[in-house]
Amino acid sequence: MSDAILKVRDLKKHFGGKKPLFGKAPRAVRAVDGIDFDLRRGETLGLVGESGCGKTTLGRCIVRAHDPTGGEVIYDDPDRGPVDLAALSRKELQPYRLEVQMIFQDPIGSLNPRMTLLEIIGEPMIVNGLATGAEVKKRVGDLLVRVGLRREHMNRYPHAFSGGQRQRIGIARALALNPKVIVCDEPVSALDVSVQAQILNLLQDLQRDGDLTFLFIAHDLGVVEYVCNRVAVMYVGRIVELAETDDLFARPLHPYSEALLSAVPVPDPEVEGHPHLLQGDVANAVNLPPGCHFHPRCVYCVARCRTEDPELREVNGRKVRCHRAEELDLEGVAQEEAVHG
Amino acid sequence: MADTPLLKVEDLCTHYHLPQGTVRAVDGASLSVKPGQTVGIVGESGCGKSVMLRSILRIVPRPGRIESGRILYARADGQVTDLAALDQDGRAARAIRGAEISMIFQEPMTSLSPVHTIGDQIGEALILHRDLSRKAARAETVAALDRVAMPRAERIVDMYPHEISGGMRQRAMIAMALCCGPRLLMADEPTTALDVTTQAQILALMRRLQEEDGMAIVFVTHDLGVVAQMTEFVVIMYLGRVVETGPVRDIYYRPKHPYTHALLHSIPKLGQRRAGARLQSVKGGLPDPYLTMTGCPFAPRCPHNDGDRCEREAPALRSVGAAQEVRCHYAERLDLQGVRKAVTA
Repeated sequence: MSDAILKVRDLKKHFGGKKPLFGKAPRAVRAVDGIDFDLRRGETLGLVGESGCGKTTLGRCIVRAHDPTGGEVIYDDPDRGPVDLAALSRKELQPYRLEVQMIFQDPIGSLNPRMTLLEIIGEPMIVNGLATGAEVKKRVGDLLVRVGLRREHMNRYPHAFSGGQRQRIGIARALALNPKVIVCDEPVSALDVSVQAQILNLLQDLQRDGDLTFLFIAHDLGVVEYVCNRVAVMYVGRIVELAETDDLFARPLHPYSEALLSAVPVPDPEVEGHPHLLQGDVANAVNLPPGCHFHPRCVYCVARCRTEDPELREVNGRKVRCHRAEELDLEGVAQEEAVHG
Repeated sequence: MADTPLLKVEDLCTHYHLPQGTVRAVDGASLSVKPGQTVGIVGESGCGKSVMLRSILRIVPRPGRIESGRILYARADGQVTDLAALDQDGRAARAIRGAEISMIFQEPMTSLSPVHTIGDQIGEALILHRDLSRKAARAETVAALDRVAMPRAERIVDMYPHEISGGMRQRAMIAMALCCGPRLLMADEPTTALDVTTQAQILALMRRLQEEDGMAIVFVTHDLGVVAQMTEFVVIMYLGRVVETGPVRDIYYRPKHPYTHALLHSIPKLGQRRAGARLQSVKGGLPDPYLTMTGCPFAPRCPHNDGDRCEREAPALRSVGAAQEVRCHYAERLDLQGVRKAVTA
C-alpha cells in the first residue's frame, strides 16, 4: 500500500473560453493550471495563497463539485484499488462520494435553513444507504456529541445556532459518511478568534481519533502553521512551493513564499515586522505574463525569469518552482519560544 | 497643549430599539485620542467597535440612537464641540464629517458607489468642503491618488470601482478620506478584506501618510498583529463595553483582563509552532445581544469566574498601573501572562 491516499496529477480547470455564436473565442480563465501533489494518508496538507489563486477551485475539483478540464485525481481505495476520480462519470462516482467530503467556509450559506439538523446530517446517510429509521437518529446524535453539540439539538434549525456552532454542524455533516479525506475550505476564516481556536482543536481531535486526511485550504498563515504537516503555496493556478511546514516557515525557497510570510503582522509590539512589499497586483489568470508568472512582482527577477517558465522541481527534498531556488537565501519566520499563559 | 485630547468619548451609549428588544451595541464606552496618536480598538464581531466609530461620525444607521454620553471633539480653532449633541444632518455635523474627521470603511466594493467614477467620488468631497471648481477638483484628485501610490492615476480617475482591484479600491478610499486633510482618520477594519501581501502595502501606506500629515488615527480591527504593528494605545471591547485600555506594550505584555488574555492566546502565531499542543480557546460563544446582563459581561465565558461577585456585580473600569485601565474585580490577583515571558521594562 502506497502512503499516498490521493494523487493529483496535472490537474487543470479552465473556465469559459468557449467560442460564442459570433466572433472569436475569448481566452479562458486558467483557475487551476497543472497541479501535481500527493496527499499522504493521515496528514494535513495546507493549501495557501491569495484570493483568486485557485485554491478553492482545486478543492472543488477534488470533490468533483467542478468537473476538471484535464488531469487526474487518483484515489487509492483500500478495497477497490486506485481509481481516477476525475475520469469517472457521475454514476460511477457515487461510491467514492462517501470517501471524500468537504467542509465549507461559510457556515450560514452552506446549511439549508429549512432543514433540521437531523435532516441535514441524516440525509446523506439515508441517500447512501448507510442507515435507516432509528439508526439515523442514533448516529446523528452520536455525531453531534462528537463535534461538541448536544443530542437534543437535532430537532432545531440552523438559525438557532451561532457561527461556531454552525461550523460544527458542517463538520458533523462531513463526518456522517465516515469519509477518509476531508477538503476543508477555509473552515475558520468566517469565525471570531476565540471561536476559531475551538474549531481548530476539534479538527485536530477528530483527525487523531479517526483515520482522517485533511486538505486544509486557508489564507491565514498562522492557522496553517498550527494545523498542517506540509504546506503547498499556490500562485495563479499553480503550486510554487511544497514543503514540510517547519522547513517552509524557517527558510522558504520561493520568493513568493517569502513575501507571504513576511507580510503577516507580528502580534508583538516590540518585534518590528519587515514586510517584503510586493509591487502591483496578482497576475491575471486570463492573460498570464510570459516566463515565470511571478516575475513582474519578484525582486530577485533576472533575464531568464522573463522568458523561461520554471518547472516545479525538487530541491533538497522540497518542491519549488523557481530558477534561482538554490542561490537565493530567503528569509523565513523566526522561531520563537512559545509562551503558554 | 499637546496633551489635550483631540477626541474624548465619555460614557457613550448607542442603542438599537428593535421589535425584538433593545440591543445595547455600545454601552458606556469611553475613549480618548490625542493629536497625532494612533489608537486601536480591538474586539470580536458584535462588540460594538464599528457602531462606536459611526457614533463619533454621527452616521449611526436607524434605528440606532445615541442614548447618552458625550463625544468631545477639539476643533481646529481650539473650540470643543460635543458631537453627540449636534443634529446629525445639521450644518455643523456636516462641516466636521468628511473634512475634519473622515473614515475608511472595511469593504471598499460596497462603500464606493458603483455608478460614479473614482474621480467623481473623490472630487465630490473636494467641491463640497474646499469649494473647488470641477476642474481644480479633478487636478486635486489626481494628486490625491498619486499620494496613495495609485498606479496610472490619470487613467484610474475616470474608471469605475469594479474596474480596479481590491487593493486599488482601498487606496482610492484612503485618497478620498485624506483629500480634505482630516485631523482624525477613523479606519474600520481597513485591511480585513484584503490579502496579506496587499494588507502589508496598505499598512505601510497608512504609516507613511500619518508621518507626513501628523493626523490621529483610530484603528478598528480584530487582528492583533495589525494592532501591535500600527498602534500606540489599545482599547479592548467586549459586548459594547471597554474591558481594558492601555499602552500597546502593557496590553501585550501585562494583560490584566481575562478576555484580553484569551484573545492574545487563542491565535496561532507565526513562528511559534507548538507541535501537538492545543490552542487555548474561550469556552462558549457570544451571548444573545438582546439579553440584559447583570454582573460582568464576560463572566459566563471566564475561567476565573468566582460564581458569586462576578455574576452579581458589574465591575467598573478602574485604573491599574500608570495608564492602564481594566474592568475586572480580580485584575491584580490573576497574574495573567502576556505574549512573552521575558519583558523588557
